[in-house]
Amino acid sequence: MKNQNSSKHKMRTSLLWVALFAFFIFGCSSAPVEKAQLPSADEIANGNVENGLKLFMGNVHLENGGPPCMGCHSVADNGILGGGALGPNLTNITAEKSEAEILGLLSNTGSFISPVMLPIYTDHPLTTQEQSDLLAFMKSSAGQPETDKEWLVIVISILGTVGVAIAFGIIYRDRLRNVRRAMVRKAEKELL
Amino acid sequence: MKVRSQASMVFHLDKCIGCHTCSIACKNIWTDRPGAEYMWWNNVETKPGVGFPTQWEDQEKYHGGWELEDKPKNPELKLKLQNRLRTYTNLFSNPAMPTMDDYYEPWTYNYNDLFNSPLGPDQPTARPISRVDGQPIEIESGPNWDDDLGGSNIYAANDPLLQSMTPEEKQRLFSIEQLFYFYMPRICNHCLNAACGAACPSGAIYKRAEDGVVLINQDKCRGWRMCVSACPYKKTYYNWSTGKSEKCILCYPRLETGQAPACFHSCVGRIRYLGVLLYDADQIPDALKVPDEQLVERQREMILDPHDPEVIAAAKASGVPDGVITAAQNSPVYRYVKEWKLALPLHPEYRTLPMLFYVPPLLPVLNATQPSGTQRVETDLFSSLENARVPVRYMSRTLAAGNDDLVIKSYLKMIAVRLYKRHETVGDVTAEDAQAALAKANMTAEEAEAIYKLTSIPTYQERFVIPPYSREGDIEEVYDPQQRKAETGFGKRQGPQRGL
Repeated sequence: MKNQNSSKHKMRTSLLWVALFAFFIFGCSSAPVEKAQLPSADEIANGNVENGLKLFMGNVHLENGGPPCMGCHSVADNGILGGGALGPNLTNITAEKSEAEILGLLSNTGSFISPVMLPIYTDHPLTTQEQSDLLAFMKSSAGQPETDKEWLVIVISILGTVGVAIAFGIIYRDRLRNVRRAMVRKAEKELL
Repeated sequence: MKVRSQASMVFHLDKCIGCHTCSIACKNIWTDRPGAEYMWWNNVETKPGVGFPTQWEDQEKYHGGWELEDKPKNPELKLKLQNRLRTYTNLFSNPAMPTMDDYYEPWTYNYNDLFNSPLGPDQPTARPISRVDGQPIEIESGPNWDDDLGGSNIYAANDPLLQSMTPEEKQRLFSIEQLFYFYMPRICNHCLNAACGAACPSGAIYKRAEDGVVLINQDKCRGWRMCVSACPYKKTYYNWSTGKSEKCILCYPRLETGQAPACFHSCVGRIRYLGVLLYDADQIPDALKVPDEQLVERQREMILDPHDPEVIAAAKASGVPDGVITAAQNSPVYRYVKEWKLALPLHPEYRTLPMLFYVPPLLPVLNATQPSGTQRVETDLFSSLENARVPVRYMSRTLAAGNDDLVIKSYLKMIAVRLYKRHETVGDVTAEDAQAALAKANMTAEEAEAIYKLTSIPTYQERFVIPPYSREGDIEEVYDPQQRKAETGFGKRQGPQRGL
């Protein structure tokens, strides 16, 4: 009886290992890659500003699983803390770069390619619709002020650190500290 | 009935002269190593006083020992320190840890200053330097800083046990020519319900099956230091050099070779007694779930009469060797604790079932109500407990969880023995007075004689009844005892090391 149990147990354990192994082999493999394509003039003209904002902010996932632009970029007044500061601020990008250049960057097909975006979006290319929506969104931001929210991030970090320190101070407020020295000081004060 | 044997101890405080010889004997043998300088496995405290580490008796601060759950029905025993969950959340930050300052910063002196100083008009001095970092230090405290009531209005006045006493009693403790103090030598109590072992997250602390000595396995210890917090007597210490905790081992290598532990052996006042007690391990849970006042009596009930044939049969059935039973029958500890009921455990209210018992001190013998000046032996010395200077309340808080009755009974016997022997040897106490004292203490003259003999004129063999350790018999089947004997002490020694 005992033997049966243990062999059953062994089998279950080995099955579990096989499943786990299979997950690591197949579960994490990337989706089949399709090559990025440039949108047609029609699609560009029909770019949806609102949808572009959602894609930029990450409220709507990019179809091929790429990370949202906001991780590195900021456009006008996006979100309370603004976007990332790794890449350039894209608020007035359409004034600096032509549509073709921007699309070239988005699809990694142009003459000027971002060395950071290339590896990120090669396996997760943007669809033509997404590219036109984002382009429309960037166009719409032209002329708006560039907002810098980095100070806010710093203030929140400092306050957060202080807050966590205070929380730990409260959690461990009853810890033992300095029995002898405190006792001697108190007694000396009373005696004087 | 599950009979176990326990190497137990009695310290007769009436005989302690506070010379610290025990502490030095222990230090020289066991704790004269880097990281262990501050440890005093044996220390002697002056009471009233704060002790070592400072105010160790204040469990509101140190959270040592056990407490009963605050439930009317079936309260369970739990560690005062923390439950299992808190053990893990506090694993890297134990909140109830005494600081180095609460022990003391160990120091030595820079003796080279004496030899290397240039010729000058003044004597050179050796500066005190820390034995932790080697830097010069200001000495602020030591392991017996308040010895003999030194700095008493800072130290003795802050004795945690004085909090429950009336202002008059406190006043009396510290007024000139009326004051009262005694010495309290302390080692590990080798408890039956050790809180240190219960709190250890690594399971490194265990009780030896053969004699109940509580030990820390240096290979298993991970230095979490929960034992340091959980032991209410603060008798486990953390070695900062090896990263392991250490404690009194009751000199088991000496015990195994038939010698008394070093502190017992070296005791100048011969206050220490060592012997085996047989106890019923099945009774431990119930003995701990009683109100404070009953704890001592329940502990005495657990201790079995080694002369009782039923107990002997049960002990044999539980695997206690014959030699240990014989040792238990001759045990001086059994007589002091169970037969005469003179010795009491230190702070039984911590509910660890300590197996080190103290005979309360009667000293000083002078009368409390008598003004200073000439005192007459026959009327003023040992006259009655009511007039004695001993604050019974203080002793009962120390040795009986607040049960005054037990301390008074113990004192009555000790006074009766003194009066009886005074009548016999000096003759200035009348036979009637001696008989009256014996009757009041509810004892016979034979018992008084026996107490006198074991207290005042015991031999080495009477003080230390060490059971035979049949280690050879235990290993015989797997290892040749002769070969083991020849090989002992040879081979590779592996010291304790930090980490997993």
